[in-house]
Amino acid sequence: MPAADLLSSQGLRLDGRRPNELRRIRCKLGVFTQPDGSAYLEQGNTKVLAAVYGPHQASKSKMSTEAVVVNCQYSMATFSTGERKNRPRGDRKSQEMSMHLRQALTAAIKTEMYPRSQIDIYIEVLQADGGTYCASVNAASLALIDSGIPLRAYVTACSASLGRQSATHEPLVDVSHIEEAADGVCLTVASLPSTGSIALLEMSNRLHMDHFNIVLTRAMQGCRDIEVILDGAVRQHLAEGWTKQDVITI
Amino acid sequence: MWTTKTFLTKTKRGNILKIVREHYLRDDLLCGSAACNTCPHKDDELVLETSPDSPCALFDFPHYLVLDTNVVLHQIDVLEEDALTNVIILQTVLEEVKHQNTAVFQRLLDIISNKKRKFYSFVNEHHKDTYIERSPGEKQNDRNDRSIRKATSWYEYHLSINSLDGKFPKIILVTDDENNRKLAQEDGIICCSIKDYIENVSGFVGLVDKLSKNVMPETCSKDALYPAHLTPSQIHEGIRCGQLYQGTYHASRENFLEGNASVNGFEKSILLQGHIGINRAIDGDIVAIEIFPKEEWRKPSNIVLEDKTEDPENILEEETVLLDAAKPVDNDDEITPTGKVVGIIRRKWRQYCGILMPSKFHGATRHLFTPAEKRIPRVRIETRQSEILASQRILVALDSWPRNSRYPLGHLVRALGPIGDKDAENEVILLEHDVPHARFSEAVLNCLPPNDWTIPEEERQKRVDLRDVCVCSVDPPGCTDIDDALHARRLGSSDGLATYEVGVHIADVTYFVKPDTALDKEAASRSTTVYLVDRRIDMVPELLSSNLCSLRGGEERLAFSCVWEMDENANVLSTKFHKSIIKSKAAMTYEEAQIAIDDSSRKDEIAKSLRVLNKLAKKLKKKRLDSGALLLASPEIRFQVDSETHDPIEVQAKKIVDTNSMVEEFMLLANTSVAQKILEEFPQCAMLRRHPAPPPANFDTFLKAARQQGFEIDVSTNKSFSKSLNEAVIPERPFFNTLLRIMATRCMQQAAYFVSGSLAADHYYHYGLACPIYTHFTSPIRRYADVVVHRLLAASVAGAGPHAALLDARRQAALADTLNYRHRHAQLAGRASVALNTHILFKNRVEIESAVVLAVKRNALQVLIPKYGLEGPLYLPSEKFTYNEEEHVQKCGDVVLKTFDELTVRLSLDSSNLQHRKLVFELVEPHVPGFSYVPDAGNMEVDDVADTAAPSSEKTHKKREIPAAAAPKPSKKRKSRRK
Amino acid sequence: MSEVYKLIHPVKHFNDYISIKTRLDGRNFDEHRNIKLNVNSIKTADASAVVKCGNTTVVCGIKLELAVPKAEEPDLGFLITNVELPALCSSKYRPGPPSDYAQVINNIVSEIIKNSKCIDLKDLCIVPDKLAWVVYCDMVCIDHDGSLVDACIIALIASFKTLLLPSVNYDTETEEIKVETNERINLKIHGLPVATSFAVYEHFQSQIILLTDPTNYEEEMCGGNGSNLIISYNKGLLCGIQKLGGGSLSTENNEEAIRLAEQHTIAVEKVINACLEGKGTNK
Repeated sequence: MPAADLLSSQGLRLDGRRPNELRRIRCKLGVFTQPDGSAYLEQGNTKVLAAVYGPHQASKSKMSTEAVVVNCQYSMATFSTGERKNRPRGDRKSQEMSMHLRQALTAAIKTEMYPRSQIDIYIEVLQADGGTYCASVNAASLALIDSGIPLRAYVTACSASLGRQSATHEPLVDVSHIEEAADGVCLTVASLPSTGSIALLEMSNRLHMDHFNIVLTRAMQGCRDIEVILDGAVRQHLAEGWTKQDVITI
Repeated sequence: MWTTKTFLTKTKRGNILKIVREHYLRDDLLCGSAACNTCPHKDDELVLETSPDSPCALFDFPHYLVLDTNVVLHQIDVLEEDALTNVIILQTVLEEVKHQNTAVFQRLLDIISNKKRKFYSFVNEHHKDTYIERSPGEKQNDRNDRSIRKATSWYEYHLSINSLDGKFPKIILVTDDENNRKLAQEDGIICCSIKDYIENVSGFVGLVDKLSKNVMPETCSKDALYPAHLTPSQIHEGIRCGQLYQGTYHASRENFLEGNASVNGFEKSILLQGHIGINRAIDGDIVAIEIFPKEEWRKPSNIVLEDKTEDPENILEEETVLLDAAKPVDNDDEITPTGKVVGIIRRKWRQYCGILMPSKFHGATRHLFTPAEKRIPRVRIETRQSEILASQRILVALDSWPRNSRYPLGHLVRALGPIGDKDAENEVILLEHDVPHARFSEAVLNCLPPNDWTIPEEERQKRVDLRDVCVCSVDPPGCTDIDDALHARRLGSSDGLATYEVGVHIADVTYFVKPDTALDKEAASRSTTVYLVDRRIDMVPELLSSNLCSLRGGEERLAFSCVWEMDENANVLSTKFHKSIIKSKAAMTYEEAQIAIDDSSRKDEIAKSLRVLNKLAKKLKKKRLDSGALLLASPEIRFQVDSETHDPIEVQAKKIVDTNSMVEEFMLLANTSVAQKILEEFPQCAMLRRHPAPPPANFDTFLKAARQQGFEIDVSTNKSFSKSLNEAVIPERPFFNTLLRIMATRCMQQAAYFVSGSLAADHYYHYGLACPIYTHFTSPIRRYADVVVHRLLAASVAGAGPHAALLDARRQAALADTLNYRHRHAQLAGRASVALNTHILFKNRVEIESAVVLAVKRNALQVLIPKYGLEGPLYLPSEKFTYNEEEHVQKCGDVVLKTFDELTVRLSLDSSNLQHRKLVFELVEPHVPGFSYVPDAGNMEVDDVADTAAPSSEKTHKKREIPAAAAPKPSKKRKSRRK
Repeated sequence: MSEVYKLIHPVKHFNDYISIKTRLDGRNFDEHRNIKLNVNSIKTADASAVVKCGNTTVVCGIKLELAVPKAEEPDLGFLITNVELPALCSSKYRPGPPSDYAQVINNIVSEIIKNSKCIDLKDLCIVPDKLAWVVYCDMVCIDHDGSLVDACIIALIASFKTLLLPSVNYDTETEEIKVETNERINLKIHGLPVATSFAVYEHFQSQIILLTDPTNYEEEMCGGNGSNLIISYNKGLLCGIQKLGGGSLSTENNEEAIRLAEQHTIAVEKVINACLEGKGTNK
């Protein structure tokens, strides 16, 4: 169901983007000292921190002899949304997010390398403007790389919606909060773009089958674009980061 | 990514909510000018010409125009003319227009999308060089003006640095805001007011006439005739504190200095009187009202005042007459709350049809315009073509109503044609009822199949082949858009009862009208075919309506079939729906079908099929009536039209034969079956039709009148209502029962389309038909609702996925609103057309006919002439007749007139007012001395009506001018089809 | 090599450093780490600040709400502070309900703010008994490397300094609330409270050493769960001393600590003012 008014007659979205454009992504690896890997990522006005601890010995109850246990926690700062959130974590929405994060990230981690161990991935959303799940996955992907845990491939996530410009339907990539709130569809995909596989797919609201493919394609393209950006950030971090890191530890 | 970004932080603190939005600024937005060689334009993006010829004498160099928001909002009629080209519409302007007036916004978009007009919309708000942030303390309007100036300067600069040979078009900012012009000139921008610009454009006749008049600020009190309106914030504050009230202003038809406004919280509507009390409100406007203290309340004046001032001077008079007449009387329960308009919340102006009253001074350009709608005041317009326009119907738009002007100011939109000309008069009917009637556009016609279209092979394979079945259609004579056909055949028997297969086949319009095509959108916006007496305004182009979709006899056609298995008692044993191919054996009229049934010598298949259908239909009808369906009636007239002049030559009430009701029964059955099916399949978004039960108060007058005739009608349920109607028969007056039903019809609510998800299930009920759910399926050629239902049904039976928009409940609900609106207006237009033709018919004749009284009013009787189905007021002078409010009777001596009484009246046409010709009814029998018309046997053919009208009644004739209109039709009635 | 030594003989390793009067990160005993401060970076919050003291990072966001004052204190508004130590900030914490330590910190911070009287709750009241502001101050530690309270107080005060209260009109008759977004006033702040943490180390059971602005490792070596001594000043007035475990203090130690804390106050004030003036961040 394409919501009205998401696209202007000149083909621009409410914030001035074209339908195929991501929001501005800025990211940084290794922002903290305490965790084994960390990253900070901004996707437009959505700002997310990710920290990875581990692998370390898993607690008895969770331990698996086959593979590493991935533990995720998603949390939103009380001041991250327009109206104050009363519970930063533990509410139903956050629990669901944590679970979806675990599913997407487990798909990327070479879990068989660390049996009997556990990896903790913590996400803190500082500011939310739509697409917090996508930003969380992307930040977590960077934090995992920073921690040196072997991955199969980059895992990235991106959302897409559907707008209407006169008679033609146009999928919109990387949905912002106002676009989410406009009562349109929101399709979220987490994928491993280099392998072409989808790790998680979630959709809210109603979408006609006729349009599903174009929306999915657009979201997948978004994932690929994000991978390029993340890859660039990792390379830059490695180029300048090693020396800095060494100085700090000595 | 190459976007830069700033934050536009919007803080909306209703209850402390901070909203943060991103705002991207881009460097890839094009200027759209062919004179620019830096922007990477593709050929089709070059909208503005390199060196456009200046149309305006003030500027002798090539230039582009930039318009500000108010110019667009007020001068859209001028913009729609081809005069101005090479115009830049800034996004700032576009957004403001969108927020303030969606109709103008749509018209502006149409202009922009017209390539010939060379209007370029420039997204200045997202361009890195033209975006400006609102500075602290700056008003939004000032910021937008600044933004427009910024973009104008940018264009000027952009074109100058990028020009190849030093020649480039200049930019002219068109704004009527003096302050803005001053600031722009300081920035070195050339500016101009729209008036100055347009007045110097040559080569476009009448362009100046379309200029909207300058708006004088409300604060200016020079020569003010009216008190100033309050500002929006004052109104808001006033309403908040409960000092002011919001209401919709309704002008009185009879008295141009009186009106009322319905306000929430008041049982009676608020009376508004005099120039000051009405203070420039126009019928339909949403106004802010101050209510006077109780001791100043009055009662409606009940007098008739027409604005007759010939001299267009700006003075206000007649006040004393009115106010004296309405002096408050103590202890009168007719006293209504009285108040005055203190501000306008929203204008609801549209364009009005009417005639020009040329100024008496030769060569003057200021003239008065009288709208056809009596509720609208006269309008002052400026035109240099008054001599041509004086004999024409014209269309005028309102611009403003400044305080120092007695009349609102407006401008000519276009001339419609000579007064009295059939086409011009039809045009007026269509415009006044908002019926879209332009010719179908190229885009729509491109969606049509070729003229020689035949059923393609793959369709033959997909559909059930019913070409061998004896299908036939039954319609009124002259019908070319046949959308239904029927068949019936004996199957066998079960449980000792004979069983039949009965099929209703409906034209498969959705095969040709695919969703979201230009054709579909046009049909949706028209919503229905509109039938005028001599003209049909099709919903879909003629190729479909009269040919490819019309189920003509002997031709193979695509159909959507609803087939039942029924026993001989008309119990439905099974129902199935499928798309099919049929070949109608005969397209018959009702009378032909009736003859075929009655003629026992006919043993052919068609006649047999019809007899089965007729037999089953009677059983269906009985069942329906038993369950409480109402049989209502309305007088329907049929014109016999002269084949050459298309002028009506005879009028008669419609004849109803058995076969009418036979077709109707099966259509009802099909509609109900389909309604059940689609509701089952799409509980949230099925398009249905409901008819709410009328509130008991509607019946008060009706019950009183029936009681006077000695009948108690039980209206508690539709079943009891139906039963008591059946019993109310006076043997010696066969028309009485029909009359009762006609009056019952008027107590009913309107039936309406709705989307199933929008209402609770117990509101689906159709009162008139006494069935729990109902929809329209059987006339997709002429109703868009049926098209939607066809699509839903196709999706539920064929398994083909429904189109996305079908499932969008919100969009469907909006569509249902449009359908209801268009249907109501189509009905009203149809009635207006009947009235028009009645007037033409009686132009040169006078008749004496028997009539019945439908209602008794304070100063008139509402009478109906059964022979013609005509209806109108018969005025009774108050000096002769006394009105008894309790009994609803009029008395004069020993003559007592009450509802249902039979009279003899004389019919003639009063043409003294060209805009409002009306039928005049005069009493002949019973004879009232000094009032009744005494027919002079030798002088039946009278030409000049005004001369023969009795002098004593002349004054009263002018009082009420309710156009003779046919009664509202009950929803279930099949729309009458005329040639 | 040094890393291995640190792991095997942590105490000896630590003592070695103390003996040569340096700390693991090369600071003197009385030296503070660099402070980096940035305000208004969280756009969704009504006021916010991110502060980094060495590696310890705290984000503070303030959200405003309207509420009816308590019946027993009809002319007071509400100031609610909350310190969060999510699992993200250190491997010491597990996901789940707030740890004891987090609650202790939370309490200390709110006591310091209350005792310093830097905010008069009467300023937060709009109409007595009818309407008052609720100022929610949420501090989230995103990297915990010791001296958490210092960082929290800096982040909180910097946020307060940038907080603008919109003017609110309350119609007593209609009970209608009208918020003017364009007219906004600064919250009045009395003074500028600053907290200074110390770790108290007993060097070979004889010598008491005060480590100013301890890191997480130093705090652990001093036996405590967090800093042992927190001294708070508001514009030259002492507004709180907390001593939590660790070595016992002599009077001299105490005086020295107070002196150091007073000096630190001046340094922190400079940082905050520099940041608010938009000159960027420095020590």
